[in-house]
Amino acid sequence: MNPKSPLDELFRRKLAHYEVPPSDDLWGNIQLARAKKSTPRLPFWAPWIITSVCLATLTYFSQDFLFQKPIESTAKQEKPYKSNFVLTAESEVHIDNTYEKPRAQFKNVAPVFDNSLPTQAAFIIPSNDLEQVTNTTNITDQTEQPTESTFTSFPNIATLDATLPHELSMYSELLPVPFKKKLWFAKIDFLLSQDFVHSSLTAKTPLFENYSTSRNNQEDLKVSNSFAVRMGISTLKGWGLRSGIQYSRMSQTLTLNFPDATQRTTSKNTFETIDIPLILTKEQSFGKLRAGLSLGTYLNMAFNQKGSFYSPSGTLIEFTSSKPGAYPAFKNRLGASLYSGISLSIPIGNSLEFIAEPYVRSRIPSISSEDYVLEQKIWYGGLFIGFRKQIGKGFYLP
Amino acid sequence: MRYLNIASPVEDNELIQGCLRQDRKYQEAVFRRYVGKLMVVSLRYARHRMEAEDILQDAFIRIFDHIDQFQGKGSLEGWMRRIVVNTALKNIDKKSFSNEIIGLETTAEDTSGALPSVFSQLHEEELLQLIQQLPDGYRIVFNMYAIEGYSHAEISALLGIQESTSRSQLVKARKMLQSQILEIQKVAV
Repeated sequence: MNPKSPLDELFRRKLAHYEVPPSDDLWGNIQLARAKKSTPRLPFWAPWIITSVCLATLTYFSQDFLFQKPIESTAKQEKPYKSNFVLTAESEVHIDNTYEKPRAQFKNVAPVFDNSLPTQAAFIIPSNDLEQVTNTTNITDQTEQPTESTFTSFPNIATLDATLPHELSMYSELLPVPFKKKLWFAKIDFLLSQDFVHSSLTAKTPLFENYSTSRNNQEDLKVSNSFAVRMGISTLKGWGLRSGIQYSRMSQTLTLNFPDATQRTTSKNTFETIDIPLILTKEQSFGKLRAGLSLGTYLNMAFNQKGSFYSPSGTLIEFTSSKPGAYPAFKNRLGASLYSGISLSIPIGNSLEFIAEPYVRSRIPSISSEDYVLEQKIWYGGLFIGFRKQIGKGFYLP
Repeated sequence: MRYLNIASPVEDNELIQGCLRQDRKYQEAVFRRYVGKLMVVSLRYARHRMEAEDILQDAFIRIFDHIDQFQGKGSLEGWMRRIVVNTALKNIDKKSFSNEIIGLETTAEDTSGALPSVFSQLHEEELLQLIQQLPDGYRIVFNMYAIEGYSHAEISALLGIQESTSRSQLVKARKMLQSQILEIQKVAV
């Protein structure tokens, strides 16, 4: 035991049973810190990656599903096109006739494909013919001047390739481009929207339930304006994928009634976001009107806020992100949100459409920072209006 | 006092068992039973209330995370108190122990005699404030030696300082406290 002076004893004796209460939110903070420590958290970009993989997978398999239908002939309505498929005068290609009667057999002549060709019979070349084909066919490039063949086109010729068996991949160099590729259309959207934003506040611990209730009662509906530019590609069947950039500015006039009812003030709060949408669309024509369903995700790239609210203890808190020392109540990025909309468009000019798209969007994670006592989730609902311009006349992906 | 004077017949052993199961009700009961006393410990080491609460928060997280390491030797309160002290010591700046207060005698130690009566009339809150007003090095050594009961050798090992430094800081701390108390007496008179 240490030799004690009377002074030491005085302090020891007096303070031995003395108690001081901590602040009310200490227990809540301890719970939060422990929960944060024990909960594995996904990085903010994880929802974006997961959603992108899902959409890509869906798109890939939906193509196989969509392009299995037999193709009906509308050849007479279509303009012929030139193929890259070039045969020399000595060319000889045999089509296997074990499936049905030969639909095309040509020697020293340019082949003309019959549009009524059943898909199952198309271009199956037995392996023992491969050697013959490769030996007797002299494929040249366009710089040589062999007998050049011209194919009659199919209106949906781009869809044929989905029915081709795998064996045909050996002959891929022999196939005309349209048989290998799908026809895509590129479009660009310019959109403006007026949105209404609803937010819900939830206390992370029971200690702050009264605070969240008070905030929920006092914070009114927010209004937002957005501007978006989306680039998209779509197929003849109406499937499309769109992405771009969107700027949104949400404003709110908040009346702050302090808990003790002695003070009242207002704050004009603004929240700015920059998002990248990734949207899968399916459209269908109804006469001139074209309607579609849009589903996708938004990846938030930036989030800035300006304004203030009151704290659980009743003091006014400044949360303007640009001010040093401002209270960090919100995240810098919000992660991802889910989007769904119904697009309606009508043509108004050459390759130009007017488009209206009512939508709803929900932020997946809370916009509050992890250390803040409330979870804040927001939903947007609004109407995009704008123009859609088709770029060019369609293309084949490389 | 929201967390104090909570009537509860639950024994410490039962609370410990509940905490071992990570039952939040029992954790809260432990918190409420001891937080008042541990707050005083934290305040003695911290410079201000906000820092004390940060220390206490970290200490309670460590307590609940490592409650399985409590072996029942001694009281639960004593074990928790040590964790609070250790948590407070984690953030100590070693430079604190090299600070000298000009004007204080470093050789004489005149606290062996009886204290003036005014000393015993001081309230706990005033004593706590006197400790908080000490420079960092003085405060920590005085707390560890005079109140927690650590020896200079233990303090030396725990803080990574020389024993002579610990002794010197203790003397200075006592001197400063005495002079401050006497100042209070003058004002009171």
